[in-house]
This record gives sequence, structure tokens and C-alpha cells, in this order.
Amino acid sequence: MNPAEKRILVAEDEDALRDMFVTVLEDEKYQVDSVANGKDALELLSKNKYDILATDLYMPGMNGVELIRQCKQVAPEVKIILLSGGGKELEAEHGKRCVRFQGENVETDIFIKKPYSLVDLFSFIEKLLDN
Amino acid sequence: MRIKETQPSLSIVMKVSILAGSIAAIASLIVGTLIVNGSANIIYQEALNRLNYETNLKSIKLISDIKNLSADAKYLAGTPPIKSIPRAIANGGIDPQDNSHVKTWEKRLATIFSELIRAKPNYLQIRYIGIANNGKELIRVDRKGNLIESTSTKDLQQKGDTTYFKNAIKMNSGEVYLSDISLNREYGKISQPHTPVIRAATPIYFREKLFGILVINMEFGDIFNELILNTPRELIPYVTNEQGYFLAHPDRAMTYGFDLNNNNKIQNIYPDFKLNYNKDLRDTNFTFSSKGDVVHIVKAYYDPLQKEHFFAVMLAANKENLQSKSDNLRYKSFLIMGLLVVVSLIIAAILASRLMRPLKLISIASEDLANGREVSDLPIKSNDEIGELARSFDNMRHQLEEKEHELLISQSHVHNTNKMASLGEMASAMAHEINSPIQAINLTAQRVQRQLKKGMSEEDINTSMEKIIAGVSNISEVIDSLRNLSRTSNEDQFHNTKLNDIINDVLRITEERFKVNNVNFNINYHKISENTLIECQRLQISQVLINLVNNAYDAIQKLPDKWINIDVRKIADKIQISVTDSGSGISDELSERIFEPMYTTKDVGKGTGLGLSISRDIILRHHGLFFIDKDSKNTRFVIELPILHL
Repeated sequence: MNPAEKRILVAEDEDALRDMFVTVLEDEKYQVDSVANGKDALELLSKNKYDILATDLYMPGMNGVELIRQCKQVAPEVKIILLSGGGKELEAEHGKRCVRFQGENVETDIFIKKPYSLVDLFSFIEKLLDN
Repeated sequence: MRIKETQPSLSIVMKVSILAGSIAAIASLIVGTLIVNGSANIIYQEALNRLNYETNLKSIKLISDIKNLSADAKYLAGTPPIKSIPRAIANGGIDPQDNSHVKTWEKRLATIFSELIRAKPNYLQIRYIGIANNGKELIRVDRKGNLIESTSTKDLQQKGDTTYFKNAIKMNSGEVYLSDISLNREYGKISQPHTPVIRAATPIYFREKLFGILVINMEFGDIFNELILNTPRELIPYVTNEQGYFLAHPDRAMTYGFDLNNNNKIQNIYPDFKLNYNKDLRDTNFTFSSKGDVVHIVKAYYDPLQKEHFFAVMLAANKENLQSKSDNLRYKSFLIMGLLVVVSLIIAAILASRLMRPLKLISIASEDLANGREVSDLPIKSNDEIGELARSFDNMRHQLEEKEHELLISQSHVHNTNKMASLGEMASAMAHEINSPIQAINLTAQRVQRQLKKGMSEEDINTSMEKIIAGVSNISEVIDSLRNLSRTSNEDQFHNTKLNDIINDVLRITEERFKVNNVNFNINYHKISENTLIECQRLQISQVLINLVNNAYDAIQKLPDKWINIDVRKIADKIQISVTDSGSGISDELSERIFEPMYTTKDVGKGTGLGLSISRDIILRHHGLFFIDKDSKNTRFVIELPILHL
């Protein structure tokens, strides 16, 4: 699998965090686009073809779960990674697919709990891209 | 809670009024009826009494007229010529006493007769009749229309066969014979108009021997006519003889049946009268009812020598007529009483409803109030108890509304504060604020680890370390604010603070950074002195403003035009402090969410610590308002604080 051929869309509202996340991914040679909110993410999703959408949960306007739902409609082939530090509205286990947010079930490709190790992150991503 | 709405039934006021009205009405009805009946009876009695009186009056007149007639006869019988004439005749025609001729005496007597006739309009004829020659008239004086004529000798007639002559000669001296009443005749024919005549005859004795009689003829017609005419209209007069034949009747044709050979008698009008009539001679004055009439009768016994002769003087009144007056009175009275009763009941009802109206208003107002409808002040100005009740009600209502208002406000406060609610949420907010910088530090450190294996430039390492340090300081700021928060709450006192001091607190912390970064920072006092005192928690308000100012600073970082204004105004009983930045405003959606505890737009490494939600909590505790001005084309956060903390 050639990382350079893979495009990842990052949705994260905290600027510094987003920049670091992008940097880390680009270190591994992935092509990365980043947005600060769900609306922009959907815009890009409709324009470009992405392999992975990596989204934070709490963002202004649309939250991550809502973005995931809409992404599945707009670009169903995109693999979904949900990242979150937690919170009482979220029931999720690191590395699992299914989470429960605000009482409803959400299916992702993988859920990653912050803080996470980069080793985990990269191995998850590779697994998704290999399939 | 919804008060059950009832229909206002007959109120106490109405009941009492109607009861009082009814009692008054019944009382007046009873009294009225008694009075009316009494009056009616009196009126009826009156009518009867009048009947009685009038009848008696008339009979008295009749009797007195006849008495006078008898008296006149006796008087004439005692005049000198009466004795002188037989004395002269016995002496061969010359009166031995004064040597005058009998003819002189006759002339003298005729003169006396004439004068008496002249004096008495009812006297038709006076005669001196001797028993000689079968009762040949000696002297006769007649009334003929307006003239009084003495009859010449050749025309004198013989009257010995007449009833009155025959009866008169049986009398003793001084007694007067009263004949039956008969119609006057001239030359044997009944004269018109019908004139009833009675004769009064008294015998004349000379030297104890019957010489002749003196007769006066009196006509009755006038008396009877007068009697008829003088009767009041509602009474019908009759005079009958002892047999019932009419001597006087409103219809002339009915009279004198005894002489005209018709059968017009009183018994024809009142058939059952027969019985009374012939029986008791002692009933001289009585009333009887027959055929719807009330009749009062007086029997006038005019002849002391012939007790069977009498006139019956009657006045008949139609019972209905008699009663009609009293009935009329009754009708009118009852009508008026009825009207009065109805009118008084109506008035009672009107008064009652007038009284009821204010009570009704109060009752309706209470219902409206209880059911949450709008209530305006009661329009009752009177000074009585109802007016007082109305005013108390209004007072109570106003107080209620005020309390409601206060309750709403404090409820919204509670609500708002509840948003900030639990410690759990607070902790959650804190956790989230700390989590971001931790995540950044984590990523950065891991990256350095990985990149060092591949080879990392010094610069890159430095930058990474800086980021880590920034993250740490971010975290400690959050911890600091946490500490601040635990200190704040309700422990701090509210003190009177100069606006100036608060603003300076803010400036001290923020000014330096702004100057360096080219931010135009202005403080504006609009028509309010910077020395104005406001009762508040100084530290907390400063923190809130610092928070706002820092947020503003972060927001305009990338803008070409960078300015922040703090505007201070007085609005009613509050001080308004607003922080406006050159940013273009926050969307409606966002402006709701940013007050939520979980939500923050703060950057990692740049956190200011206090969440907007905590700021809101502080402002609420001051009973103030904290909101975004949506009408501003820039981003404008507004705080309004009451000058006095109550």
C-alpha cells in the first residue's frame, strides 16, 4: 500500500491540534486535507475522493457523528475514523467499530480514544487502507 | 389550577331586595284592599243615606203642603164673612150686626178668596157652598190662567152629589175632609195638561146647624213636577197613591192611572212590591230591593182623619249604579295598587342589579385572575364596602402580579443557573478544556519520538518543545481558573465598586498584549461617570470582562482591522458594559451553543480558562443579563448589572 496514493480528510476544530495531526500524518507520507468543521468537510467530500475521513467528535455547528452520517450518504466508500477524548454523551471503546452517542448507535470503521499512541493510530489506518 | 366557572345565580342582594319588595307589596295590597273595601262600603252607604234623606225631604214637603191646605181651610172658615153670610140670610138678607147686605158680605168673602188664591199659586178654586138647594155654590172664586175670577150668581152650580160634599158635611166643625186626588175637569172634561187636584173641605155650622162647607181646590201638579225635577239624576222618583197609581213619574204618561183608566201602577215595575204595600201601615220609612234596584219609600200620611190615605214617595236607585261608584273606586284602586306593586318590584330588581353589578365585576375579575386571563382595574369608585372590596381586590391583584413577575425572573435565573448545573458538568467542562492541550502535548511528544529515529532538525525539535510547553501552560491556566472558581461562588461579598476600578483590572491584564499586537483598544463611558458605584463582586466581574476581551482578541487575530471597544452605559437601574470586537459577529446557531459548558472555541495553548458558561453563572448571580447583541454587525457581548444588589 502506497501512502502517497491515499487521501485523508481531517476534521478538527482546535487549530493547534489539527495542525499537529496533519503534520503527523504527512510525516508518514499520506496526502492530507484538513477542515475545522463539518460543513467544510462535506464540501470537500463532495468534490474530492478520499480514502479516510478522520473526524473529531465535538466541533462547532455539526458534530462528528452527524458528519459521519452525512458522509456515508455523500461518499459511502470513505472509511470513517472517529476520534474523541470522551464525554458523558459518548459510550465507546478504543479500537471498536460501534459507538453510542446521545443514546443512538453509530457505526464507524474505527473509534480512537484520545490520547492515543501514534503506533496505534498508524496501525489502524494501515488496516483500514489494506482492506 | 383552573377555577370552575359558575353561572352567577340570584344573588343575596337580589333575593333580599325581592323579598323586601314583595313584603312591601303584599302589605300595601292588604291595607289597600281594606281601605278600598271600607271606602266602597261607605260610598254605598252614602248613596243609600242620600236616597233616604231625599225621599224623606220630599214627603215632608208634600205633607206640609197639605197641612197648609187644611190650615187655610180652617182659617178661611173662621173669617167674618163665613158667619156673617148665614146670619144675614137668616135675617132676611141683612146682617143684624152691622146692617150690611148679604151681598156685601159675599163680596167681601169673594175678595178674601181672591187674595188667598192670589197668594197661593197652587190654589185653583175656593168655594163657599151652602147645603140649601142641593149644595148650591154661594161664592166661587177661580183661578183662570193669570186671572182670578169670581163667578157670577147665574153660573153657580150645585154640588150636593159630589163625594167631597157628602163627606164634608159629615165632619165636625174644625175638621177638614181631604178628598181623593183626581184630575181637574172643566165642563166635565179632563183638562190638559193633566192636573191632579185635592180638595180640602170643612163644614160650616151656624147656630149649631150645618150651613154649608168651605172648599179649597189645590192642584198638585207643580209639587209633583218639582219633586221630579229636583231629584238627583241617578235616582228615579215615584209618588204613588195608596193603591199604587202613579201621582208622579218621570214619564208623565204613566201618571194618574186611577183617573185615566189605565193600569199604570208601581206594582208593574216592582211586582213583588205588592206584599209590602198593603200590609204594614206602620212601615213609613223603609228600603227594599227589587229587580236590581234599591228603593227607599216614605209613606206620607197626610190625612189625620183618614189614615188609609197616604202618598208613597219613592226614590229608586239602580243597585248597579249605586255600587258602580264604589266598584269604580275598587277597580281604580286595585289597578293602581297593582301598578304600584309591579313598579316597586321592578325598581327593587333594578336597584338590586345595580348593587349586584359591582359584586359581579369583582367576581368576574377574580375568575379571570385565577384562570390566568388579563385583568384590568375594577371600575368601582364608590365609598361603600363594595368599593373598598374592589380596591382591596385590585391591590391584591397588583401584588400578585408583582410576585408572579419576581417568581418568573427567579425561575429563569434558576433555569439558567441549572444550565450550568451540576458539579459533574463543571468537571466535564474542565476535563474537556484540559484534554485538548494534553492531546496536543501527547501528539507532539510522540512525533518527536518517531521523527528522532529518522532524524529531526534542531529547529523542528525546538518548535515541538515550544508547543509542548505552551500546552502545559494552557493546562495550568485552566487549573488556575478552576481554583478561582472554587473561590468565587457565594463566598465573596458584594461591595460598592467604582466602574473605573473594574475597567482598570481588565486593562492591567490585557493591555500589554494588545499594544504589542496592534489592537485598537478603547474604553468609552457614555453619559456616565467612571466613578459611578456598582454593587457587585469585583473580582468576578473583572474576570468575566477579561474573558470576553481575551475571546475577542483571539477572534480578531487574523483580521485586517483589529479593534476592541468596551462601552459603558446606564440603562434604567442597570449598568451596561459591552465588549465589541471588529469581528463580523457570531451566527445565531453558534451564539446559543457557546454558552454551553461542553462547548468551546478556544485554541490549544491559548486557553483563557474561564468558560462563557461560568461567566454567565456569575452574571446571573448578580441578577444581571448576559447576551450577544444580534443587532450589531460586529461581535458584541453585553453584560447588564443592576446598580444595587438586592
